[in-house]
Amino acid sequence: MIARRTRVLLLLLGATAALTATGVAAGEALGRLAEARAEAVRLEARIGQLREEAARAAAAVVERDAIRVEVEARAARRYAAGTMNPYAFATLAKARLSSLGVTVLRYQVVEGGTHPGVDVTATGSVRSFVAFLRGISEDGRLWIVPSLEIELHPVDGSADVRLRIGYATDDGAGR
Amino acid sequence: MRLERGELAGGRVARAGTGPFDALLVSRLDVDLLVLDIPPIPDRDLEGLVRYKLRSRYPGNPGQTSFDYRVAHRGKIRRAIVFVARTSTVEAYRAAAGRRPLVAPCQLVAGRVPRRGPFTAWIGDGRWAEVLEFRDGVLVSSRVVHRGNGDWRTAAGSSAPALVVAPGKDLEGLACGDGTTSLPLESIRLRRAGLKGLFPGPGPGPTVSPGVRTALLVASVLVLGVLVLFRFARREEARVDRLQGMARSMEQEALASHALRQETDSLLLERDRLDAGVPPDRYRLLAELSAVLGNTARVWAIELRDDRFQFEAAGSDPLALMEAMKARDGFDGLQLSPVVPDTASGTERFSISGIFHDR
Repeated sequence: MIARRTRVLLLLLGATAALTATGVAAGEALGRLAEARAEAVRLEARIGQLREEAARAAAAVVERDAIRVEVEARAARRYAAGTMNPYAFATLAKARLSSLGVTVLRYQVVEGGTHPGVDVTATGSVRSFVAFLRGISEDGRLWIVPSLEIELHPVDGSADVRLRIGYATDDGAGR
Repeated sequence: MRLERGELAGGRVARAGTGPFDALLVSRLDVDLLVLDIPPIPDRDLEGLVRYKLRSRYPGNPGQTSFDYRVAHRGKIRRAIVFVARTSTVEAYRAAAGRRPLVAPCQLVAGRVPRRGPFTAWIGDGRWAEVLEFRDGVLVSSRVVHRGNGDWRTAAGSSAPALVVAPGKDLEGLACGDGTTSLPLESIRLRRAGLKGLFPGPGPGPTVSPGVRTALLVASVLVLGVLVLFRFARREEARVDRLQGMARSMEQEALASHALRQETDSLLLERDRLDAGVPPDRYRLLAELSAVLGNTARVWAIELRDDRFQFEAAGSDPLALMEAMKARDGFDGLQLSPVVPDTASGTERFSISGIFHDR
């Protein structure tokens, strides 16, 4: 027979061990629960951000496609590298002006730079010059007019023009 | 409940029958019955009082005696119906009955005793008969007569009973006269509900002290609590796994979006490169000027250089023209030169310069 005091002490020891083990297990469970919840909160916030980015992605695709169309259209108007030179361009410019009834009084080929071309001094009707500018605005290849001086004569509707006309290549070298 | 009769023989309890039974009727030759008047004391003190009174009323050795009791009361009358037997006898009956209850003969008539007036009942077996005297529904006395002594009535020495319970074959030879109800013992069916057997067994297993029960209960609650916590933790971890999977797939889509943004940025740079050094469309500029000037002014010189323009004109209201140009998209940095009125023509000579954007 175990003495009563010993029995009580053994019971206390057993209870303490049981409570300690329960406390340790509960602590671990609570720790895991807290960690999991914190991680879940972080992930939910991240998923919220990713959802917003995904929503913007659809609009970004549309924007990219629109810019690509712009860039392709602009690049397509440039002369391919090596297909144009300032002298051939000057010939084209003179012929175009002449076809509109403009009289070329003087011209000088401009080589080098990003937009080589020709400086032209001409005279003709205002309509002819407007038609020339509309033509190079609307037609396929990009002709650039870096400078333009027009002196109008309202009496007969004519104008004296000094302008530089240039061209652009797709490599940006102007050759 | 089917009743079986038992009787001690050779240290063991013999049954009168062989078939199945639900309760075992103890013999009055083996179990004594005492009727004790008891004072109004708490129920927890009742057992001690009965035990004390038995010392003077029962001759057996208290260390070898077992007793059970029932309390009967009516009005101010309070009595303990005490069933006493040797412990070995009780153990023999318990062994014969197993888990079935032990029933005393007086319990067979309990439901048939009138609540008013005297009532006598005989309950007999093959060799003995118990004479029970009731008054106002409460047992007053019980005595056992041996049938071996002769006829029941002679042995009973009392007037005819109101009720006789005995085996059917015994009832046939028993003439009790009018006013006596005979009831075959075999026909009695006890109701299980409310029946409390005599000398109940120790129970299906060792009893657990209240302290240990409490400790086990607390331990169970703590363990369950810990298990529930682990369950919650596992469920939350499973949720984290699902969220991680979702985030991973969305991260991959985000990488694709990042690549898309980089491509868009590259296209914008390319567009800027293509636009670099390209002046505004000259035809569009002249068209805008024509639209804003209308017939309000006559231009005689225009100069365009890169994105800047300047024109000289004469008109009626250059200030209104400036306002109109400022309101239109595409014109920036507009400046109006000093205006010189021409009194001869009634117009004003001016020049306007600025910047034109066609994109």
